[in-house]
Formats: sequence, C-alpha cells, structure tokens
Amino acid sequence: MDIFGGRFAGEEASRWSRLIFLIVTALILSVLITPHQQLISTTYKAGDIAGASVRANQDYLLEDTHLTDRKRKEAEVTAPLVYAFNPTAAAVLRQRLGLILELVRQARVSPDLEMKRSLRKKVSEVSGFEVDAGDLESLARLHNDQLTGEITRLTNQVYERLIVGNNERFANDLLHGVIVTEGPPGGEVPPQNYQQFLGVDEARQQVEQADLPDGGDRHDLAVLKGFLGRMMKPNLLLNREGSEKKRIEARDSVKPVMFQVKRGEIIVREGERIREDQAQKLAMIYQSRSGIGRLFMVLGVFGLTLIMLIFPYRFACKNIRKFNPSSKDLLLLTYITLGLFLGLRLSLVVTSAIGGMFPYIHVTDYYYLFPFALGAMLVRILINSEVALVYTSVCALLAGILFENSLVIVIYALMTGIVMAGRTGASFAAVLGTMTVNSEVDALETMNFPPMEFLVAPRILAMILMMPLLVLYADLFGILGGYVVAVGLLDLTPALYLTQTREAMTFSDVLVGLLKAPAFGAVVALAGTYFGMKTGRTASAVGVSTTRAVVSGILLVIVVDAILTVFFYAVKL
Amino acid sequence: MAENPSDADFVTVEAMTMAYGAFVVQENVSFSIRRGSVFVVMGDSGSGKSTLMRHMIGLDRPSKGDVRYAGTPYWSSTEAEQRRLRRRFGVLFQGAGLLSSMTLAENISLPLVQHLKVPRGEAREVAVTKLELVGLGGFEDSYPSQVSGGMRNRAGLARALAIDPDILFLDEPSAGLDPLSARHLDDLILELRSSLGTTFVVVTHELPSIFAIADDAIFLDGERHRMVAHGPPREIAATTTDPKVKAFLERGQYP
Repeated sequence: MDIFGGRFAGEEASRWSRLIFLIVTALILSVLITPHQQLISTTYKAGDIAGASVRANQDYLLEDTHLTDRKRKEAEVTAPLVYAFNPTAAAVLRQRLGLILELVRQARVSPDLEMKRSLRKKVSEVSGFEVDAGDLESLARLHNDQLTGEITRLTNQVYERLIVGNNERFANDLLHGVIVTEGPPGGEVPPQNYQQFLGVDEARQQVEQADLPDGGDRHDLAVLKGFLGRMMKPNLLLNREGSEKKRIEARDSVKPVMFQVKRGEIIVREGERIREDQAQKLAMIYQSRSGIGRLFMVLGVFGLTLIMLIFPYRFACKNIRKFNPSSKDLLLLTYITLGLFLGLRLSLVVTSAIGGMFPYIHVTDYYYLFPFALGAMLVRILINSEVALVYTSVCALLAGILFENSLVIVIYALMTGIVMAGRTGASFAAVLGTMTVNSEVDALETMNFPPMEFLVAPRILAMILMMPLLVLYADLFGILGGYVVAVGLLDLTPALYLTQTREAMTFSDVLVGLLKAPAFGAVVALAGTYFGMKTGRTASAVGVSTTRAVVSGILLVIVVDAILTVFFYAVKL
Repeated sequence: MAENPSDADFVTVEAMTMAYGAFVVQENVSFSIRRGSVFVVMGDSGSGKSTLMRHMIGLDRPSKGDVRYAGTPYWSSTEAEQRRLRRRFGVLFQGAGLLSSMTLAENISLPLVQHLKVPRGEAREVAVTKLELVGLGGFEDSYPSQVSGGMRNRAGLARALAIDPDILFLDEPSAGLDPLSARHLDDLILELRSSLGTTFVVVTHELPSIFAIADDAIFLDGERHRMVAHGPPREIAATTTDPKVKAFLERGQYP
C-alpha cells in the first residue's frame, strides 16, 4: 500500500496516478464481473427445474438439431426404395429347366444304374425342391424337341410383366416411391411399367394354367408346368444396398433448421421444468459465448465500468459537500472494491458448485447470503457516509452485471448498502455512545426518562417502519433506472421493458423484500442501540461500540436473512 | 424554617458499599444531610466522589447499604416509589449532560412538558426564567455545542432547577470555570439555598468553593476506600489528625 501511496505525492503525479489507477481498476473489475453464464447453469438438462430465468442477452442464430434430426428422419422415410430388375430371369429359368430335362434324358438312355439312382437327388438340387419319382417319369416321357419353342414362348410371355416376391408389399412400396434399376449395371426402367406387376404366386398360376398343345400327354405336361411354376423366381428384387444409399442421399440433402433467438427473449422461466429444446438452446448459447465474443464483452463491460466510475465520482465531487476523498481514500476504495468483487466472484463459483446438490433451493437464493453491503460498511467506517452512499450505488450496479444483469440483485445490494452506509446502525451506536459519554443518558434517567423508551424504542421503531419504504424506494428507482437504460440506450420499447420487468419481478419478490425489510431494520437498530447504550465513559469507547454495532449488525442481518429465506421458502412465498 | 427532628437526617446514607464488580470503590460509607444545607463530598481524584453521587441518585445500585430520603429507602423501594423520589432530584452532571440535539430552552422545558404536562409556551417561559436566574438570558435558542463549558454548566444547573427539586446534586459544578465564574456559581448556590430552601449535595475538590459554601462535608479516601472525615470543612481542617485530609485542606502542604 505504501508503494502505491508514495505515487500520490505531487499534484501532477497524483493526477496521472489517479488516471492509471482508474483504468487498471476498471480493467480488473470488468474481467471480474463479465458474466460467465456457464458458471451458473451448466448443469441444466431436460427435465431439470430452472433455478432462475435465463434470457438471451443478444440475438442468436442457432441450429435446431432436434428439428433437423426429425426432418432428416422424415426425409429418410420418404426416400424411394430401389428395386433391381433382372431381365435374364426368363432365360435363367429356361436354362434350369433345360438342365433338368437333359439330366432326365441322360439317365434314361444311360445304362449306368448309379446314374439312375442319383437322378432324383440331382434334379432336386437344380429345381430347389424335392421331386418325386412319378414326376421324373412324366418328364422322361415328354418330347423335348417339340416343347422347347412352347416353353420359350410361355416364359417370355410371363416374364414380360414385372414379377415381385410379395404382391402386397410391393403395392405399398409403390405408394411410397420406387425406383427400378436394370440389372447389375443397368439404368432406370421407365416408371409406367411399374403398375403392371405380378406377384410370383400369380405368375405360377399363369404358368400352370397355360396351354401347351403338344409334346406329351396331359398329365405329363401338367407336371412340366408344375416344375416351371415352382422354379419361377421374381425378376424384380429389392436392392437393399441401393435403397440405403438413396436414404443417406435424402438425409444429406436436408439443410439444417436454424432458429432465431431475439435479445431479451426468455429462454427458460424460473421454476419451469426445462424442455428438450430449451436445454438445447441453453447449451448452444453457452457454446457460442466462448471465445472471441467474450473478449468483446470484457471490452464493453470495461467501457461501462469506466463510465460508472467516472461520472458518479465527478457528479458527487461537484454536488455533495462532504464528498472529497483524498488520493489515499481512492486507493482504499479501490482495494475494497476489488476485494469485494473478488469475494463475490468466488462466492458465485462456490454457489454454482453446491447449487446442484440441493435442487429444491433456487441457486439465486444463495445470493442473498453474499455480503453485498460489506464494501459500503467498510467505506462508511473508514471514510464517511457520503462517500459510502455514492460508492454503494455504483457497486450495486456493477454487482448487477456480475449477477447476470439481475435487477433483483441490484436492488438488494443497493438497499443493504444504503442501510449499512447510511446513518443507521453505526450512527445509532455512535450517537448513543456519545450521549452516554456526555452523561446525557444519565441525565435522562434521573429526569425519569427511561433510556429504553426514550432513546432505544423510537429508533428501532423508526427503522422497522422506514425500511419497507426504503425497499419500495429502491425497487422503484431500480425499475426507473432500468427503464432509462433500456429505452434510452438499448432501444427497447417502453412497453417491452415494462412487460419484461413485470415478468421478471413477481409480486412475491416485492412482497418478500417488504416483509424482510422490517426484520433487517429491527436487528440493525437493535445492534446499534445495544452497543450504543453499553458504551464506556471515554471518547474512544464510542468508536469501539460503533464498530461492534456494525459487525454484529452484519452478522445479524445475514442470520436473519437466512432464517427468513428458509421461512418464506417453506410458506411458498 | 422550623427545626423538626427529621430535618437533621433528611438524607441518610446507611453503611453503603460501592463496587464495580470485584473492585470496591468505597466501603461502609454512612452520613446524614440536614435539610436546607449545602453538603460537600470531597476527596482525591478517583476516590469515588462521583460514584457516591451516582449511587445516591439511583444510577448505580450499591452492593451493600441504602440511602433514605426523608425516611424512605431508595434501593429497597418499588420502581414507582423510586420514580417518585427521583422527581424530587435535580442533577447537574459533569459536563452538564445537556441533550445536544435540543436548544437550552428545550432541554430545560423537556421534563416540564413530558412529566408535569406544562403547556409548551408556559414551559418555555419557565425555561427562560431559569436561564436568566443562572445568568444565561438570551441564550435560550442556542444549542449546547454553541456555548462555552461554563455556560453549559450553568444551563445544566438551570435544567436541574426546572422542576423545583428538593435536593440538588451537583457534580463538579465549577470544573473548568475561571475563578470569577466559579465564584459566581458559589454565590448562586448560596442564594438558591436561602431563597428556596433547597438541599445541595456538591461533589467538588475546589478548596475556595468548599470553604465558601459547605455547611457540612465528608472526605473520601481513594487509597483506603473509606470515608476518613466528616464535619464542617473548617472544623475538619482544625481538628483532623489524618495527614491526607490535612494536606488536602491545606493545598497539598504535607508537614
């Protein structure tokens, strides 16, 4: 501290030092208070209860991966199925039948017994079904040379149509969309032919009922037709590989669906169960926040911090009589401010870390445990209440930035700061202490004015009555200040600002503030008056009791606030 | 004024022991005060003169003993009785003890308005009269911080006189006053005693004052923690064998 203090020696040096100091302070502050939303709500998943409302603080263009996925699935489903047309099906069938007939003929003419015996097995292999001996005999009786032309005609006729394995399924697939490719290398077959398809069973019937004029007797010909029918295969088969390829093509052709999040739009409302898409939006916003955007944010906050430090200081110097902090005082203010915000930042980290452990306590409720008024109190004690008032109003706004632009926090910090900085707890102790030292309290007592009734009770009553008014005042000016900034600087419409404010600040927020205020007032006044009345008989005793009053006032407010928070939570206010 | 038997022991301090915690200030102090007399409590610094006064006017409770006013014990009485007794006291504290947030006139009229329900205008008139009595006419609208220490003392005396008390307790009334003002205050005390018949208990170590006003006196010794002399100051000075008292009354000239 002495090293820095020495810099303030000369008048000119002091000016420069102040400037450098201001910039350094603002820079450190802006790094400290630039919000990391990740710290607060990384762990939001679908189904979680939101601990605090989250609103977009800038415009975002985000990919809706959920919707994109759905569209892609739809595209996949509607992608056409690929069928392969086999133009050689008739030829293959004829070839197989020819092979069977040749086997039968060879067996008949051959003297080899072994061949005759294995005939049935060989024929079964080729035909793909069990043949019986009678059928083989029938085949053997046929006059092949007469039949060949007939069979060619018959098979060609049947295979002119598209023959599919499953009639109904293909009909369905047709409705869905079908592409037919020809053969292994082939191209597409024009679509008009698709309609004339035939189930393989129907094709068999056609073959079996077909008219074969000569070449054998009726029975033998029927056996032949039976063979033909049973050996028939569809000439149109589903090409699984091709279909899959088409599906992937369709999927890739779908463009990602983007959606826009406007600045100020509420993404999640406090207390709501987070939906899938909301969780996704949050996750994406957090992602997009990192990196270069953050640097600009720090710069922006830096500028804002500079403005908030310089202008109130200048204004106060000109207009407030007792506001003339020396360079050393400014140095002190800097230390207090940096210490305070470092502490708040750490508390925020700790809070977000433990926040998840108690899902039924809102993360924001922990904020009320933070010693916002600490800085104001220190300044009040070490410098004076005028400086403390200006200081606390600046700090409250900065704290609001730190806590994700929370109006409630600004009001809270301002309120507690003003109470602590103002002529209340500490001044009660100081006034009563001085009165004790000057025998004024004794004089009152001997004149039959009990100090409890005459000095203590009115002060406590005054605090209890006035604190809610102070809260209302702070509420009102918080909203008004927000209005000026939102409408004047940020180009929001008045109506939008007001509706959003009404959404963000529920009636119970205000009510809780108003109900807590008298309790805070009472404990601060109690601490102040108690230590004031207990002052010893020397001037230094006044200082001691003032300090005691302030310290116990802080502790009591924290304790009472914790109790009330739990209480109001229990009664669901 | 007719002598009646109870006048001799109008105020009686009975075997009073004063202590703060384990520290005994004075032990077994007993004396009585005649109605309409000026009674002086002498003693060296820290001997417990002011403490004795605080015990007598009800600010500190004695660890043993009691004080009677016209036969009524103070400390063994009820709260209401104590209030009634306190109403007969006028007290001038060291440094006057005026309420710094009120003007001199407001300070003086406060008990009149609050306790005796005197209308404000009338109370102000009384206050002005009392201030004139102590030589502070024209200062009624000044705040205590705006007048000198001696004037504050006199204003404190005016406030003590406001409710026409039977007994006036004065704690170091001439402390910090120049000899002329101190002399003036002594004259005022004597005048009030003869005109109003008020009884005075004065804590002081100013020798000129003591010899000028005291009808009776005691001497408290801070080292031995007890009362070492009792009687009119001149008598004590003439007869005492205690070297400390003798030295005190002879301005520190030890034999």
